[in-house]
Amino acid sequence: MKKIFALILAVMMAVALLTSCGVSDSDVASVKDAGKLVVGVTVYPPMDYLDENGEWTGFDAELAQQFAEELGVNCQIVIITWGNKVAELNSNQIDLVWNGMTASDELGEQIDFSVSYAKNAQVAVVLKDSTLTSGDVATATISVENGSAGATVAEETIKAANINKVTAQVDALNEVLAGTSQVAIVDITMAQSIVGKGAYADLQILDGASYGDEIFAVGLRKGSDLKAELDAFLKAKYADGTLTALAEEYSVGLNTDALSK
Amino acid sequence: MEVFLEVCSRLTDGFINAFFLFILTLVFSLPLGLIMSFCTMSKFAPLRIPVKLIVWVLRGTPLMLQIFAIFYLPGLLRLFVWPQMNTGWEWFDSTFSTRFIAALVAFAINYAAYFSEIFRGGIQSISQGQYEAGQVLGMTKSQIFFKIVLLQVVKRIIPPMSNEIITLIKDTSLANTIAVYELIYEAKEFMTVDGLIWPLFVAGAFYLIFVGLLTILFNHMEKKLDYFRS
Amino acid sequence: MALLEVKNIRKSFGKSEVLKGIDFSLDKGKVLSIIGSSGSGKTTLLRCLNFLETPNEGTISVDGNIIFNAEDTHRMSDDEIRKNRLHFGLVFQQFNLFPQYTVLDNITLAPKLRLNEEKLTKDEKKHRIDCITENAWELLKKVGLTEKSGHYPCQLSGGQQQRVAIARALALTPDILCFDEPTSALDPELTGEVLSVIRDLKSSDSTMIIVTHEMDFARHVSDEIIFMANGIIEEQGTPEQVFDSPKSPLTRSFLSKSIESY
Repeated sequence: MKKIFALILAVMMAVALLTSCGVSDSDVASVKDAGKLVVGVTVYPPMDYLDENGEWTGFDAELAQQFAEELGVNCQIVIITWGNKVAELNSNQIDLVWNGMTASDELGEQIDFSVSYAKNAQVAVVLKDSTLTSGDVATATISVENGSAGATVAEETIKAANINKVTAQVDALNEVLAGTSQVAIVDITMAQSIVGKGAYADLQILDGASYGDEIFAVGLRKGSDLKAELDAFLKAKYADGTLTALAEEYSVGLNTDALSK
Repeated sequence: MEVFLEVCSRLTDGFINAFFLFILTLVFSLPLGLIMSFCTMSKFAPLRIPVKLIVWVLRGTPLMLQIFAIFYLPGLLRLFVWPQMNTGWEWFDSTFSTRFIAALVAFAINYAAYFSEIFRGGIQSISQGQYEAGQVLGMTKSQIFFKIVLLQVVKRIIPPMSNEIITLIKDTSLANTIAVYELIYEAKEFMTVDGLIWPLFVAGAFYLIFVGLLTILFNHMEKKLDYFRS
Repeated sequence: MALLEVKNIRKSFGKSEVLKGIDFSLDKGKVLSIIGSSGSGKTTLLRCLNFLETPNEGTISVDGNIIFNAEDTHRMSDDEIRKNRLHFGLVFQQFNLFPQYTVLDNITLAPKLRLNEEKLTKDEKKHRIDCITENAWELLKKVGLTEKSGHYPCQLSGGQQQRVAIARALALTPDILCFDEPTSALDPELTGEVLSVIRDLKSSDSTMIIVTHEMDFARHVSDEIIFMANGIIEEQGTPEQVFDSPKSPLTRSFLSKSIESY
């Protein structure tokens, strides 16, 4: 039995040694060594989603692929659980979070951001036949994605009394559909792509209920040397018009101030 | 109808992954659980006590937390990064992804802990007389275990084991904590991308049918061992 | 020379000494019954002979060869113990048949497993297995259960199960067959069939040690009686000596109580 334990320990140590070369201080060097840039995303149209052939597409996905190309490596897009994004970065499972991520101050304490490339806002979504107005939101039952920008808006801007925190933005919408919440606070980007269609046909974006003035950025490990390359890449793509074209294709609002600096 | 077929075909893909996780968890956790049960019954304290502690931790903390810890902690502590399959066979590499392997490790050790307690209960419920009868007939310890005790233990532990195994197939959905692709994951994707909620209930039907098959299998095994009483 | 010689066997469990120096011998073909109240140490003595307990002191010899010696510092290997305990067979109070095997398989299991320890060719092995099976049928005939050969233990009455257990013990041809209260777990109407099998064995010159509460049976089947009390042999002699004119007051009081209860 002791031998078995010794063997297991030895195997674990061997695995650690074999793979430890992947844990290096320079992200640029380790990405180039590995020959791939690992980008963490969730399925989040129009930023990252799969087309009918099962290939990644979307505003962020296309940009990520172009960035990897520029580094001379393959782009590997992996699906992560949104709530785990900091752990995913810090445990070296992924190199970047590129998924219409709102660059909030709290998040900025744990990870670094690229130059902001797009703007975002939070909107309130209600049932089509709802009689609620934007003034009623603060007293309604609200559902938000836990840890999302919408949650921050609900707590700090709206100061709502009843907040249900669910695990995904769509779950927040489902709450409204099911009648368990009256209002969902979600990204405008997301709301525009899904509300009013399919199962969400009975929902609408509440007029005049737009909150926050948020910016989207790519997330990196603290102190990552990929930031310099990424910022230069984003600014160059804005300068040559690629970003503007993409933004039009996917109806995303660019953060032109930041990109032109 | 076309949508329904599309949903079913993609849910089947998700189910296949869940099934792999299920079956591989059993493959690793059953023998590991047996070894752990022997350790917890050992008279040798340096073996018994650590294993008992491990069983306590594995049964005493949420599986979701264990999956999270096993996947992220090695990287966060700069120990190692979970290796990636690189056979060049795309289907294989993507099915048995890094995440899948980490989840499998978490499931295997967690379920081994539960199984070890069931095995221990089963083994200790066999009367001392069975061992003594084997001994006075000149049998070796391993002959006594494999020829006399084992089948009686199997008969006794089928009901608790079938419970755990049925729980396991449903627990595979916990793997989506670390974004392992499986049945619930796929069903939820219909919600995010296509705005369809009902695929989630179709996924429920997948579990239900599979659990139904397992139940038939376990009933069959129980019947097969009905010929003796111990 | 005596077939079995037991000298100064002592056994303690923790602080309580259960056997306080037991000496006796038994000749080939003789039947020894051990009587005494519960807790007198008779079952422990039987278990020591079968290596289910290890005595703290004393020696056990069979046919002049010492098979156990507490003084011997080298620990016996499992294999040695297995070899030595085959001098003895043991029939348990609770039968302890293997529930998942048929009556016939219960009897042949151990002999067949022993074949694995010898290097045999396929033909030899087949021949030996045939012998084992044939022998098992003989034994079943002896205990009168040939028609039950394919049954499982749970389909048999207690008396039938105990007869199978006797056949199972005999299959390994032990020098000495031990019975640990073979009828105590049986309904009174079922004891007769078991006792009659044991009586038959006596007539075929088997050497037996029987721990029993059946005084009448002990008296008629035994050549020698040992009365145990508090871990020692209180009285020993022929059935006539022990039952008809016991010397020890303990024996007398035990016998009078036993007779009352029957």
